[in-house]
Amino acid sequence: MTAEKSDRLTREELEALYAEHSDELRAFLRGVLRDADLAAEALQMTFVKLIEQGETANRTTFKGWLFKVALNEARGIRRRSRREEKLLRQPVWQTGNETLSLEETLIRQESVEQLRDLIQKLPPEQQTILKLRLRDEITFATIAEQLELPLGTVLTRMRAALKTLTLQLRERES
Amino acid sequence: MNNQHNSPSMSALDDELNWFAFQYVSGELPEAQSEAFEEVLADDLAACEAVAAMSEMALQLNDAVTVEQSPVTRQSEFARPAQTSIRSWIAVGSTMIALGWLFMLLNSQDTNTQPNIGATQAEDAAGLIAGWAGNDQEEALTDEILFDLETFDLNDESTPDIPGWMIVAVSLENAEEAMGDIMHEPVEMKEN
Repeated sequence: MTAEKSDRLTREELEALYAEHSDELRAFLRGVLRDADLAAEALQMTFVKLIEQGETANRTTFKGWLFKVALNEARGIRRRSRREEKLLRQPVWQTGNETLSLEETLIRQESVEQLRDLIQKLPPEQQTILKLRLRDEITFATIAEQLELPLGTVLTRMRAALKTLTLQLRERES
Repeated sequence: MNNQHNSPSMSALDDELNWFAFQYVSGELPEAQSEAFEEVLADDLAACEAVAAMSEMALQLNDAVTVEQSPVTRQSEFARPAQTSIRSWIAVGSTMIALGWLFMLLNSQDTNTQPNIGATQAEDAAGLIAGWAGNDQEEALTDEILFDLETFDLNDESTPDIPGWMIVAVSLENAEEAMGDIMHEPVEMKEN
């Protein structure tokens, strides 16, 4: 009993884990749940589990443990919400606004500005697909029909755009 | 769980994982594939990180293309001057109506104070005549005129009294014309 108590995470450790992983976990949960409020609920439950059962996790693989718990919590919430199918078909950018602090809002704005610059440097045909999918919310299949292109071509262009943007963002960060 | 490489270059596996994750968060995967992908997520940290990265990327991309490029946004930007113009015209119209009301109000007040106008107009007329005359003798005459105009009743339809000064002026004018005619007569005729 005394040994169990000594293995439990201290308040400082919990705060450090939250500061290190909460943003990434929230983004992950939003991707899984496609709902900002449900994602916040799942994140809270994940950290409650960490407080309750954190001592059972291997401290060198806390991150993996947290993601696994978060996924289980998310799937449970989604099942209980009785709109599992609808949530799975919904794109992540239609999930409502999350509450951000002033600092988070400024960081987000900066990232968006960077992305805007990078998008303008993409080949025009890739920009078109990107805007039709994300701005006009047209599915890839409908874009292919409208532009009279094979679906494979549309997907390839989108994938190329995404790869270019991801690499350029990584370069800027590093 | 495996971990994703964080180097600026991207391996084929990372690229594949990111692309799958993007389709997953975009709701593009069929239900069966979504469920299969979630089974992968349960054991693969790299796949989880890819979902987190693509989720954030999709949100930011949406913000980037929606805020700057949307025709709706552009339309609202162009609509702003038109709205200002409409507001300006409304302001101008309101001001004109207010001025109209003010003018009508002042007019109605002037009608109430009509008796004073006769005297004021008489003074103005007398001033004009005095300026025109330009000598003391005729200034004395204007006092009489002022008196006459002040006592003049606009509603009186009886035969108007012709003031003496007018008769004098007409007589003088006729006399000057007669003198002028005499003075400008051709010399030859005089000789004749």
